Amino acid sequence: MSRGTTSLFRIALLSAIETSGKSRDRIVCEINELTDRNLTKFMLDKYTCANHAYSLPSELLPTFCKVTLTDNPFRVLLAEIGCDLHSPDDARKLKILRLKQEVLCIETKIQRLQTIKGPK
Amino acid sequence: MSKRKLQAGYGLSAQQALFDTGIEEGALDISLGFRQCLSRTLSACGKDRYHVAAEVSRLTRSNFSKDMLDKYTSSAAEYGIRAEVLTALCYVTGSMEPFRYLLEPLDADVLLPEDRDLVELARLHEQKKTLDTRIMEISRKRGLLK
Repeated sequence: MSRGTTSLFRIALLSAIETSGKSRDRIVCEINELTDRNLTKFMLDKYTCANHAYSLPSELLPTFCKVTLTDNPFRVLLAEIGCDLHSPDDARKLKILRLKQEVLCIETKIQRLQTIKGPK
Repeated sequence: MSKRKLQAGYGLSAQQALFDTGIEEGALDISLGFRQCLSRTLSACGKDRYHVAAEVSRLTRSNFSKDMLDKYTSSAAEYGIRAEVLTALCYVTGSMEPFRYLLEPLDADVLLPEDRDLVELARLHEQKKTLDTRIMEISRKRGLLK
């Protein structure tokens, strides 16, 4: 994990807060309602400051993203290991294509067997 | 865990309506499930916790210990694995399950590098289908089809 990614992650958190149009107090309040936690604005400030000693716990990230209506912080973390995010719709498309690949593979195997034994 | 719905106007002031998210209170309290997922990932990776901690330390250039891993997988909510460290942990364990668990409430999933072109292919197929349909529509309208 490079220092650059840590900084990018913090920038993504800051950007999420700014573009959400919600105040930090409101974001903290919504996160607490959804997670039954006692997060404070002071803690959120620490998680987004330049001091790398403090960082947002992973289990709060989905709620943070839900409240700020962005998935960019996840994208930044995943980009570090060459991954990205995809929507459920993309997941469905991916599944269909994989099944088509399997069908093609099975058809090729059938053709090969038919060539060896000859069709009935 | 309280399951009451967050509804506008249940509080003392009208300001409460601002915080109406339409999601049940505590619905995203995924802490315990996430810790169990982390624990499963560590058990299944084939490396012991000392080994994982050492590799995460090297990757993050920080002091990450087996003791910390134990705390992050315990039910003690005061300890939570840093989001930045999770990336390193997933890389070391070779599993994206912890990220998948976190992304579930967002209706999203991890796209692996080897699947990028396949997703692009699926999107291109869909674009082609949309274009073909539109071409047919205009052609029919203009009498360019028999």
